[in-house]
Amino acid sequence: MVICLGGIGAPTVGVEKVRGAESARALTELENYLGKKATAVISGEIGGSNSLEPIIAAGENNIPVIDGDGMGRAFPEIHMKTFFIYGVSWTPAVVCDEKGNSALFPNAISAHWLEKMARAVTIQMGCAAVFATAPMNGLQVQDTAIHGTLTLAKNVGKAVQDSQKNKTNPVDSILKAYPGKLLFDGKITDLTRSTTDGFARGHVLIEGSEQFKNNTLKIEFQNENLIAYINDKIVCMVPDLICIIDSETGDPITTELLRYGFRVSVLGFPAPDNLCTDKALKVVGPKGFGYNFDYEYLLNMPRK
Amino acid sequence: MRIGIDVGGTNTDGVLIDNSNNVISSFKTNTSDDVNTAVKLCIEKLINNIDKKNIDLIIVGTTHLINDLIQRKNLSKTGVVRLCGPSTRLLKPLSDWPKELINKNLFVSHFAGGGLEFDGREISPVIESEIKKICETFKSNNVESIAINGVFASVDPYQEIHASKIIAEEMGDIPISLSHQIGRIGLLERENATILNSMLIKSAKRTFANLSKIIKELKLDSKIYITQNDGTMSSVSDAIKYPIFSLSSGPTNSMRGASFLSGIDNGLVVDIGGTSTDIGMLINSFPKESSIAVDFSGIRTNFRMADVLSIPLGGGTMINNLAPFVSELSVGNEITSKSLSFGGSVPTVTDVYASESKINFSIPNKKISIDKNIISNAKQEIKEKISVAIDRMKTSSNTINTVIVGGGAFVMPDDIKGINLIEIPKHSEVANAIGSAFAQVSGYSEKVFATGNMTREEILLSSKNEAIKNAISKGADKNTIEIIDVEEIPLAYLPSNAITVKTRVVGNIQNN
Repeated sequence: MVICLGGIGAPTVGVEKVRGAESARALTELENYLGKKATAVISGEIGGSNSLEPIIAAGENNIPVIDGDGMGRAFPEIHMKTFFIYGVSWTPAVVCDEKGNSALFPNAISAHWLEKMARAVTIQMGCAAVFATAPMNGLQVQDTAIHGTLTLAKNVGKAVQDSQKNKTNPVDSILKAYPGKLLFDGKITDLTRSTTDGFARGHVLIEGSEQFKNNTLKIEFQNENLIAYINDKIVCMVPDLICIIDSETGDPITTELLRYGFRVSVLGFPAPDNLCTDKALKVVGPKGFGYNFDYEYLLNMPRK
Repeated sequence: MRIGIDVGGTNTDGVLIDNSNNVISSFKTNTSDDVNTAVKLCIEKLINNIDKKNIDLIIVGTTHLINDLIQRKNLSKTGVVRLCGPSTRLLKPLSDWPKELINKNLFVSHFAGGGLEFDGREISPVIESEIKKICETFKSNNVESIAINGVFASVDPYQEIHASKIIAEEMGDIPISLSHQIGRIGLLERENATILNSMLIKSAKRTFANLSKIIKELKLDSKIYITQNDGTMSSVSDAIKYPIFSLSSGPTNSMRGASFLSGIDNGLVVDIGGTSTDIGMLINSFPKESSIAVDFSGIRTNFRMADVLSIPLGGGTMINNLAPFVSELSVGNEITSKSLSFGGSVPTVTDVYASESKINFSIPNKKISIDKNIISNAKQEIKEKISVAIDRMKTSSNTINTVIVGGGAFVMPDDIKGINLIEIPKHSEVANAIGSAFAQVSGYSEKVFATGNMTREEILLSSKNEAIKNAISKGADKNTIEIIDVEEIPLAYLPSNAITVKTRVVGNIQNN
């Protein structure tokens, strides 16, 4: 049995209320409910600290971590995991906080409902908790997970570290480790954020520099970057990945860390195949985020 | 009139500026080991023949604190309390600090009850008896300074204040640094900055406290200010309480001074001193800021700082007999006794250029016995070092205007590719002091707004007006005030959709 682990809450809270070893407790509580031990764990979402939650639990319990995840990137909602898009059951699930509280969800009529209930509990827990869900067998993991993403994350991280150490251009290093496209270079000139229904929505404007001078790039986000426009023309859209990085260091700048005056580079990466099927696009394409247009691949480079 | 002073590792510079912003006179001397002798000498020279009543302001910038930190000198033994309850305990305070510093037995750290959730609810309360027990360990370890960091103290500082009162009752007159006054959201980085602040207080006291004494001794009635990292200034008492804000003002002062002297608002500044060469980009007459977490001597904080590349190359850098001919060590402020040019026995970079006309100060001994081969190889190495450093700081391959300042400006080769050398302006050797003299006054506003009643534009305007009012009350000339930072932080998951808006403005000081 493989169990999927990840954090739940607001990343802004996570930088202040730094998470501990709660993921090991969430795993144990779900195992106890099911009456059997997990043979491995997998990350629900490779983006950000969620790639590390299963590693903490695996270390505590001395079991392996699977090289893969349920998103191949970050998405704001639980039902956007490929496990659930392709039919794995989302319950039973457990949410644990650092104070020793936990909540078990034996049943939810949809992954969306599980999300709503889990989030309500998480807010009471102080907006930083750990979530154990999706008990599945090996075959289900093989069919539904995005493969190799733990290694990819490690390689991208190493590329950034190496470029910082050797003072080389971080964009070149990253694109070598993870083929994608430089969409824009510039400086953040405006930022609007509002929190509605528990999601940080907003947009950021970036004024171009160098080869992008006299152009403006706008990114609309809902916790994650969704659509990038250059001078009102769309240049990249979800589920293709839009990344904002610090131009000098290559460090990632998440939507929470965006600030006026940052000099950034914007990169686009093609989404993996199992995010681009009709079934997946209904959930994680533009329409899944409330836009009225269909997904279009705009990165102008081969997918692989 | 006002006096700007910069105390560097090698030289102490001073300038006298009149009310129309003209440089009246300048003076340069070796930095004394005690800082104050050189500062006093500087002021004395500058006010010679000037009516003392006319000196309104003295603004001092110093690299002394960062030097103490780098040399691990004059640091206070610091007690750390993290108010966190059961949260955040996987990563202890000082987790990512340099081992060699941790091993110096400088810290005693504790977790304690406390901490808030994002919305201000208590994770757990501060327990008086627990804090008192912690104070006992601080006392038995002879702790000299305290740092308190509460989870989400930026949302509401009452727990930090409560804990500090208990500690003050137990330990008497001990400096206490509270994290909500030091840094922004980000527990570990703010904690690091708070500990850093706390351990620098001894050094700050030694450096700044005597300045007021000097002013008295010189029978001056001037107000005295200390320059800060961001090109603004603070009172002496604030500088002693918050030394971290003055930790790295040197590069900012030199770049702002270079901009003032050359009239270049956008370009590269190369500041060659006695010990090091600092290179940075000017954007609209301010140093380009690094947007990443800033490392102070291996300690990660979430401060925004001038993005300056520093290489160990200056007039006092020692020359070897064998390749590499240019070493990484400097004779520092002993240049006038140790270097060959001044009759000493150590070959330095200054000696390499001693026979050239570029040197604009008098050298007692122009006939230097350094091998010609060593001279030409050393010059080649110097050119290579400066070229590589300039390439690293340039943001594009275009030719860029480059201003050279500092006492070691004569070291700059005139044939480096990709730069347009701006003629070294008058007073370039005292650019730092000029930067100090032109330190600005800042204004700040931080307020929570309910977005229901006002549009975003109205909220931003209200915050801006309050920050401008604050700057004017501190002496800023209102015609020169500009916004340098606006931050909107939504308070997540609150039905009212409230946001915190922080606005920072700066302006020139109003001339009398």
